[in-house]
Amino acid sequence: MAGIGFELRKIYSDDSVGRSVLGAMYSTLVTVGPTIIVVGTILLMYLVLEYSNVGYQDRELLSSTILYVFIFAVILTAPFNAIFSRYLADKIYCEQPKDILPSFFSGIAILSVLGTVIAAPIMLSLYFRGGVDPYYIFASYLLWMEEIFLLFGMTYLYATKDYKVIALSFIFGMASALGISYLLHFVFGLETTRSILYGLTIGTFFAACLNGSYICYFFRDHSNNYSECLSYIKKFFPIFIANLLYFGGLYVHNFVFWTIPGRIVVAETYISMQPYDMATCLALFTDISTIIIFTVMAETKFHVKFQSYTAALNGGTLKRIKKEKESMFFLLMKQISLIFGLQIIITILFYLLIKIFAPSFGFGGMTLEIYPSLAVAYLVIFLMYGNMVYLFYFNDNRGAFYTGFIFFVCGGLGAWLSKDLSVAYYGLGILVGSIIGWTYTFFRIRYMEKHFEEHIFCKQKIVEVRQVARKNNDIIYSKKI
Amino acid sequence: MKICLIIEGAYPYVNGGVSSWVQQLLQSMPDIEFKIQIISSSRSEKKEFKYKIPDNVSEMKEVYLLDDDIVQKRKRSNISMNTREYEAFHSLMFGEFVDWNVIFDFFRSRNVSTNALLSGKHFLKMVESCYKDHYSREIFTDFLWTMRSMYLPLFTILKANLVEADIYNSVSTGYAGILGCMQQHVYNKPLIISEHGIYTREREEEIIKSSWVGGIYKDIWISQFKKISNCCYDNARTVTSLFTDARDFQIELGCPKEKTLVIPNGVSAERFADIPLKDPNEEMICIGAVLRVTPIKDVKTMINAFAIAKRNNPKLKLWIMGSLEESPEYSQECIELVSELKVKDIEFLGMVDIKQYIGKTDFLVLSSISEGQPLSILEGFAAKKPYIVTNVGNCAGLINGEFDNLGEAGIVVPVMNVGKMAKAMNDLASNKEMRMKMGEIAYKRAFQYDAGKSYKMYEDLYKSLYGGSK
Repeated sequence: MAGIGFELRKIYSDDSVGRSVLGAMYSTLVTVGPTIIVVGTILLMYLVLEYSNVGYQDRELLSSTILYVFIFAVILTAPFNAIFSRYLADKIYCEQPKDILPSFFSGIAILSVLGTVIAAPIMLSLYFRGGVDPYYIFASYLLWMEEIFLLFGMTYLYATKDYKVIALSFIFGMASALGISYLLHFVFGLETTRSILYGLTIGTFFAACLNGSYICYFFRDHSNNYSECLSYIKKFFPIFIANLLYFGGLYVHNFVFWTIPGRIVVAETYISMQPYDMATCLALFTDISTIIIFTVMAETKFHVKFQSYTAALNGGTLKRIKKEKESMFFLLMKQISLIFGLQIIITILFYLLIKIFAPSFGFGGMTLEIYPSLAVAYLVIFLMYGNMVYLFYFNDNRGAFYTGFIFFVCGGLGAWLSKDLSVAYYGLGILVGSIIGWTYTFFRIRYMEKHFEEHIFCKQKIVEVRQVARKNNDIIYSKKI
Repeated sequence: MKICLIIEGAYPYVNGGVSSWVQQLLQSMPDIEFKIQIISSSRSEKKEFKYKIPDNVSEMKEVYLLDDDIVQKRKRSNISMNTREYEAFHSLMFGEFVDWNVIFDFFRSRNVSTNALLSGKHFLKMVESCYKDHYSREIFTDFLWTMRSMYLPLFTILKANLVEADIYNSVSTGYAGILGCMQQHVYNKPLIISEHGIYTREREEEIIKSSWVGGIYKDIWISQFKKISNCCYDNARTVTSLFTDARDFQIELGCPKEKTLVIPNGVSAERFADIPLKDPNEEMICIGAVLRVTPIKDVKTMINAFAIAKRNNPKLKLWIMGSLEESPEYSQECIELVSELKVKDIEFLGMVDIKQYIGKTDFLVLSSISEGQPLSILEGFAAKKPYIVTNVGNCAGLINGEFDNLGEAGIVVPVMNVGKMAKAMNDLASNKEMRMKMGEIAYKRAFQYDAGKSYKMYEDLYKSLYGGSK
């Protein structure tokens, strides 16, 4: 999120209450704003187009389509975003902005291929096994690809630092989606689910086009260096996998619960376990503020400390370097406990609100039974993600990789074991997985603190590495005597 | 008998004193097999042989000061060190007495990754401890990277492929010497160090003058080269020098006196017996300079001196005979200086057959700021030419005569002294009788520095050591 820190530091430079509220709003807009806009629009569509009156099969088909599109788009793009954001940061630092736009096109090309390969079996299954009509399938495919482009483009949009444009393009896109779906249903008489899907597809298309155009406009001065960014995937492969595993781990427990009795299969293709998935969604929104609080803290105070440390590295004595390190880690530990303390209060508040008001919005008993453990699990997951970001700050790719791996494996395994427990304990597996993941990150940070000089100064490549040559080419002259 | 000659930055790519000495040494012992290790700065250098390789050379191998990290596995592994090894490396870097044998064994016993060693935790710990004790006000990152760059060439050399031979003869101390020491240690064969200049002193001068080494790092670099030289002196069976002052300097630097041996350079005077001579009707007085156009030869002082001398004596002309390629930038500056001074009759002849020109000169000049015992002076002597030389190395000894009372074979002037060099040029140009007399003394002195005698001493040395090592 290049640039967000600078904006936040400007806002937080004055300690007034008004400024704090503004800072929180700003962080919310940047971190979870687009998600909230999209989810809000979908809920509004459901309400306006009287979604509750739609037949069960059609309703489940649309819900599953949207669920799959959003979950898998996040999992697919997250590792690429992690890699390409590094490439962007390097290019900005090296003052080579001309290479940015070509990398955007390269990323889009890769994701288009991968997206189509992943979507193909699902589309074929929907058509042949589910009997879903091709227009619906094609619109689903378009929505899936648009969502991928949109999520991938976010990395580039953040680099432009023009957050107003990001917000406006999402608002415009989603407003169009709402308007078009309204027109399709009420003017052209199209059925509700199709109106919503087509409206969403067209609106998302607008948003993706607006964002893409802005990226092309902003980085208009470009080179033809399309391939360099690809080398970053190899170079930062542990980061790629770390992100893939982390975002995979966010939903791996859902995939496990999609296997148990009580799951529903829509159009012979989409599988879901509604009470569990809904509880996940509620838990996710309960704890999403962790990310906002973390962003504010990391990008303002911690980032400043980190910069002081890097300044000491570049031109300071060892004494100053160690002093800055101690100060940085002291703040880091303070922030970890502070975020935890704050989020606990928020989580309890949301938990009580959901427990009280959710039944009146139609959330069933089973969902609310699963919800508490998942609410705690997501709190720990987001805290763990915060720690993972600190590891990224320290360029501890190995630590980040193991975090992703441990979280994914333990979360998946935990969910597999907890699926046989009573409903209230369904979320226990992912909770245990997340606790193990968080514990690893915590002790990894402590380890880094202890061995930071080694981590910073050692294991650097001083000269190129070459494997022993079979033929000795150092002989420049030889003669048999 | 197989002799391994170890040469840094000279033969067969560079013309000059050391290279000529090597060529003549090889040619003087056709029955002895030689293998040559050449220390070059890096693989990327484009080089061509400047000498025809004699038939008794069986192999020439390059060793690089800056090379890739050649490892068996691409994956970098950590370097483990026991206490003895740690202490040996620590003393190499910041101590006084270095246990070189432990370091040699360390590099021989495993496939050491230079990257892993220099960016390993042990190296960092050593640097940190020294930094805290002595340099805590310096920028740490600079200090660490300077240490890494300082030890990179040394560790790269210690990783080099070795050559098996009966005797190792390194033509200097420094990196060539340390490679010789390691091979001597590994194969338990004798090592000879043949110093033409005093390597440690030359590096010291270079480092003091250089702008790329700053502040505290000058002392660290100098002490590093001293440690390397001490290792060479300790491990060598015999340490030769070209003249007694150089030997005294070696002893002063820590070389045991009983190991030292003076073997002067030599010239085959008969090679200059039938050289073409100056046309008796030629009115111009020709000054010759046989040297590579490089900063160490201080050609600019010579040009400036000639410009002054030429104002007093318009009949003077100057031939600069030697490669312009070794330091093209400096050569260009010299050419530009000639046109700036608007001085006529200076010719840069480049690489020429000296014998075709030297007889046509009236006297010769050598303006170096550093020398050992220049072969070019001996060659000038063999051609009956007096010399104007700067007071460096053994130049004054050659002019004044160390082993005879023949008299002066030229004029000695201080280093970089344009006025005195110009005066010497005018003095010799205006006094034909003095020139002729000095030329005769020079010619007689040349026979004291007989090449045959000089290389015979080396042959005897090899044979005595070979007999002892069997």
